[in-house]
Amino acid sequence: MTEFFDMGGHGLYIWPCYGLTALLLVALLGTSMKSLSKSKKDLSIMEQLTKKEDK
Amino acid sequence: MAFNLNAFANPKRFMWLSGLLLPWVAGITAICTIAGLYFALFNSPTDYQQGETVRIMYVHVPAATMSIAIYVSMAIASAMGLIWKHPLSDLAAKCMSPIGAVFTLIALFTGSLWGKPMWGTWWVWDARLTSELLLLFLFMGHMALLNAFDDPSRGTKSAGILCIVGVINVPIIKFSVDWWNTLHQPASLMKEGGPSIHPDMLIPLALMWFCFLGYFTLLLFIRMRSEIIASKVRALRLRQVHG
Repeated sequence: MTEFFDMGGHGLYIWPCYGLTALLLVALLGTSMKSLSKSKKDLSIMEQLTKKEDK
Repeated sequence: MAFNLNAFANPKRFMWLSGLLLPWVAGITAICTIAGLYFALFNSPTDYQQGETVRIMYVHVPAATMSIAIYVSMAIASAMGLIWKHPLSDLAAKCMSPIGAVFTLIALFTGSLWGKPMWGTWWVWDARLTSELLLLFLFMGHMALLNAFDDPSRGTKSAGILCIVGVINVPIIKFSVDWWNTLHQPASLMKEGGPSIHPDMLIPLALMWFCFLGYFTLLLFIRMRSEIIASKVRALRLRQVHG
């Protein structure tokens, strides 16, 4: 197992590549989904407000 | 039925279409990610010269390709926004630049980590590396310009112009390895005589390409849907304020 992570002595270069790629892409997905859910929440609030007014 | 590009201009139809496609894109992306990582890390040979560091290629090359592909599609979207006042294409360009900046950053970082063991240096002012760094600045400039003005439409217009002017950098990146004597290796896929890469390495590379392409599509749909809903909220607020 350690041999796998050692990657022929180049693990120090290979794993940060995969690590940073995963980190950046997952972070970007996280922030995108967070802003989507926030927009949806704002929309439902606004729609309720406008429904109350129309009554 | 003649294909009418404007049919997709209206946000409602885009929301319906992207809602329909999102689960499929997410599924395909997940499959390509798992298969790609399996082949890249476990089931592909080492390189006779580079040893295991060739595995960095399966992240570096797709990220670099995506950074250029995103910039070109951003320039097309910006042109459609400027010329035909296509509302959704301005929105698409706005949503693409953060994703493009991230892929460019990944390409630069993984390239630098690959360069240290193989070239003996983290960075060199080589034509390919320098023009890719310029691409990162163009993406960041686009994002900065978008928010630089009080009036959003002025920001969109100036960012669009920057993006279109910056397109000249794309062929420079692509052909830098042929025009100048670069440390960076020349193309091994898109060149005369066809790809000169062994299928055992081409499979993980292709899978990781589709993984990144699927990921980009997923992110773009999510961000565009979020922007469309946010603009609906703004409209409702305005209507509420003005009664």
